[in-house]
Parts: sequence; structure tokens; C-alpha cells
Amino acid sequence: MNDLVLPTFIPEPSSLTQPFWDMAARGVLSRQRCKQCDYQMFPPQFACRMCLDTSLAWVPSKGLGRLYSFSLLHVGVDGRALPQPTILVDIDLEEGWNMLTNLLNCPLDEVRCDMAVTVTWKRLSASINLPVFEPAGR
Amino acid sequence: MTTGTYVVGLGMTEMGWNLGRATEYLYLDAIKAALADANLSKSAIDGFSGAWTAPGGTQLHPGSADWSTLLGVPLTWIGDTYPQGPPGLMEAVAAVRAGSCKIAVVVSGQGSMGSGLAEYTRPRNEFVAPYGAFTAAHFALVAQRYLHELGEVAGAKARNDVAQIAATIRTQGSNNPEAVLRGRGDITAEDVLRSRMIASPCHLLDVCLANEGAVAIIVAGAQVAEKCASPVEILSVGCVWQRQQYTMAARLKDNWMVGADAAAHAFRMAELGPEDIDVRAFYDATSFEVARQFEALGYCDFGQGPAFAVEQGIGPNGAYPTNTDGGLLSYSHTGFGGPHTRAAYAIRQLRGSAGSGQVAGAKTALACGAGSGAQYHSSIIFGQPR
Repeated sequence: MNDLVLPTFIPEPSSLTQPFWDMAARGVLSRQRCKQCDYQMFPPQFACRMCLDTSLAWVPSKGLGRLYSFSLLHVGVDGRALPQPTILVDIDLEEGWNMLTNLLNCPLDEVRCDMAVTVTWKRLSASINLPVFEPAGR
Repeated sequence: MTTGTYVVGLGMTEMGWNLGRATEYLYLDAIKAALADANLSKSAIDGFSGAWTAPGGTQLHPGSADWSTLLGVPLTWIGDTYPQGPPGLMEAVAAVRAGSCKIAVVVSGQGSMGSGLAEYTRPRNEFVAPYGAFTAAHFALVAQRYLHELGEVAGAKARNDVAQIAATIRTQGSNNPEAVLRGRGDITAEDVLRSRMIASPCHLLDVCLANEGAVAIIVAGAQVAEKCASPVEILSVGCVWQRQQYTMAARLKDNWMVGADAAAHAFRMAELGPEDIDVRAFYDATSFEVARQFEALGYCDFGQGPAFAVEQGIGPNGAYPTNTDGGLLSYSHTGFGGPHTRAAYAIRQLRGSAGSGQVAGAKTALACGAGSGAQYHSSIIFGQPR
């Protein structure tokens, strides 16, 4: 089993991203949805990428999805070899959006494209609760 | 139709891990060498595109304006795009064609890296950096899904063929006395697959360098080119930026074909097809990208790039000579200057001065910048003056 190697980078929310981290602190994964055209966006933007309307809502996600792709990262952000690889993943969420994240609680040789995954959480600081994923049905 | 503009001067510094000099000194050396190559004095310059890294600038963009102070010449055009290579040259071409300037210097590269990590490989975006992602990891995500969609058997074959691509390019680099990784001997596909994993499926020898060095290219119109010893014509340029790089995951379905339309535009404008190109300077940020560019730029279909490169041959005597200088993998990758070094290689091929990697009789050359992981791509086509 691989534990997330604590990143050296802890997000510092901006006015644009604060709602995401506020919901994350309560264990709720979210993304933006355009009130005009329903287009879903992550990472957030100040206007809709589809219709450019600026009326955007943060809406909760069920946090269920499938692994579109992955990479086992053997070096860290500091360039040094990691004691355990980090599993970088790109998840397609059920609601029709995607995010870059990490996969936890999965043996390295069991990571597969298209596997079902569910959100879980890793607290990085008093205010930052980082969404990560693990195999579904554990 | 071509652009009606020419490369009239090319200057480059040594490429190396640690040249012990700040970026601005490398830029200045490259600019002086390019002026000497073009037989022009600095007073001839009236267009400039390049970052300002020295102390004493305004700290405002574009850095190009700071160069007017140092050069001591009034500039009638300054550039401000990224990166150099095809996009920077495209801006200079447009400026010369529009009459905004007559002689434009485009410079790029990097110095002062010391022995540390290249900072530009570790973007600090809050939805990327916490997960440990770095630039090569985005290319790896695309490559992993590519192998998955090919299926187990074809995917394994593609992985081995991509290793052979890396081995061929790196062996060319070993034999290039100007390459950062010169003198390393023959590299085999087994060497590539045995090298340590960086970001699966990319091993160390699948991933490009990050080193120091600078290149300056001078762009001008026909009147200047006529007086120049070895002009190279800029036939066409095509660029696309799909999304800002490394702020969200690069994806096979969105980004594998990045640059296809831009390259098609460049081919149309040059009235050439992919088969008419004698030498390719592909952007080998990873070895998988070489296969991708064969697919996206119209040489073969999806899934066939790895086998195409291996079976047709990408060495100087192969059917499709590509990165015979060692590419970004072994010759040089100078960050945002990487695409500029690819352009320089293409220009040298057409001048017959590409050294150990020279392709005999090369009359057309294509140079590319960026790739799927970066979510933008650009192509420039050079020819001998017609």
C-alpha cells in the first residue's frame, strides 16, 4: 500500500478558489457549473468557458468516477527519488467533468485505466483538506 | 505562397549542464554571433524579441523593450509571445511583412540554472502541484492512456518501439560533439527500458534534458537576404495554443492531436506535404512525442507512430530523418528556448552545416515546439531560397 508522501506544496486559496476549499474542508468535492448553460468547469474560472457568462455556482459532486489515465511518479516535486511512487491520476467524474488528483490505498500493480474510484480526503493543514481518490468498493 | 522572409543570421552558444554564466550573457553571445553570421552591425537591428533577465530592467513586460536600452538602437517592433522557436519567429515574420521592422532578432535560452532542479518543470498551480505533478508527468498521463487504448499486445510493441526511437535519437546525440550528452556511446532500446522510471510509462532515457545555452535567429526580408551569405527561407508557420499548460491534466482525447491543424496550415501555405520534408526537428520532450508527431502531423494513422518511426528509420540515412543531432533528449533542451534550438537545427540542415547529423542534400526542414503534455504545439517550415 502506498501512502501519499506529504507534498511540499500546500494550496493558498484565492478569491476564485476559496469556495472549493471551503466545501473540501467539510468533505464535499465540488466543481463550478454555469447557471446559464450548465457547463461544468474544473479547475475554476471567473467566467464560463462555454458561454462566457459570469454567473457560476459551486455544486457538490458524488465523488464517483473512473480512472482515465495515471502515471506512477518516482520522483517528487523536489526532483529526488521518492521512497514510494506517488500515483498521479486523471479521473473522469460521473457527472461529466474531470480532475487531476492522486490515487491512494491501491497496490501499484493494480492501478488500471478505467477502474472505478471514489473520493477520499487527506488533510494537509488546518484549512486545507485535499481531495484524493481510492479504488471504489473498498 | 510563402512568408517572403528569411533567416539571415544564426548564432548559438555552447550547450551544457552548467555553463557558469547568467542567461543575459548567453543571450548576448548568441546575438553577437548571429550578427557576425549575418554580416550586420547592431545598428541594423530595428526589431527584437527576447526576455530580459539582467538586473536593472523595468520588471515590466515585455522584456524586449529593455534590450533597446542595452543595444542602444531604437526598435520599431518588439515581440512578446511564448515560447520562441515557431511562435516567436512567427511574430517576427509578421512584423517584417507588415513593415513594422526590417531586421528582427529573436533570442531564447537559459543560463544560471546551477545544479538545481529546473523550476519551470514544477508549475505551482494549486490544483496540480499538491498532487506531485511536474511537466513530464503530464506527457506521461497522455502516453499511458495511449498504450492502454492500443491494448495489451499492441501497447507492449509500441512501448518497445518508442524505446527504439529514444535509442536512435540518443545515439545520434552521443555522436554529436556539440550535444550535452556527447560521447555516451551507442544507446539501445534495452538501455532505455532499463533506465530508472521517472513517471510511468516514461523512463529516464525517454525524457528530455533541461540544460543551459542560447540561440539567436535574425529574420529579415528579401532585400537583406540577397546580401547574406547563406539565407534560409521561412516558408510557413502554424501554431496553436489549446489551453494554458500544466494547469489541468493533459488528456489523450483532447491533446494527442494537438498541432495537427496548425501543421496542416503550415504545409498548405508552403505548398508541401509531410512527405516533402527532408529533415524533421520534432519536439522530443519525451520519446513518445516523436511517435505522436508522426501521427498528428499526417505521416501515419493513430497507433502507428512508434512502428512507423522504427520501420521507416529516423536516422540520417533513414526514410524520415528526425532529430539527427540528438534532439531535446541528448543534444539540448533550454526550457522555453527548446523550440528555438529545434529551429536552429533545421536551419543548419539547410545550410549543410549540421555536422555529424547532416542529412545529405536537405532542401526542406520542419521544426516543432511543445506537445501533448503542454497542450500547445507549433510548426515552422524552412526551405532553401527559391
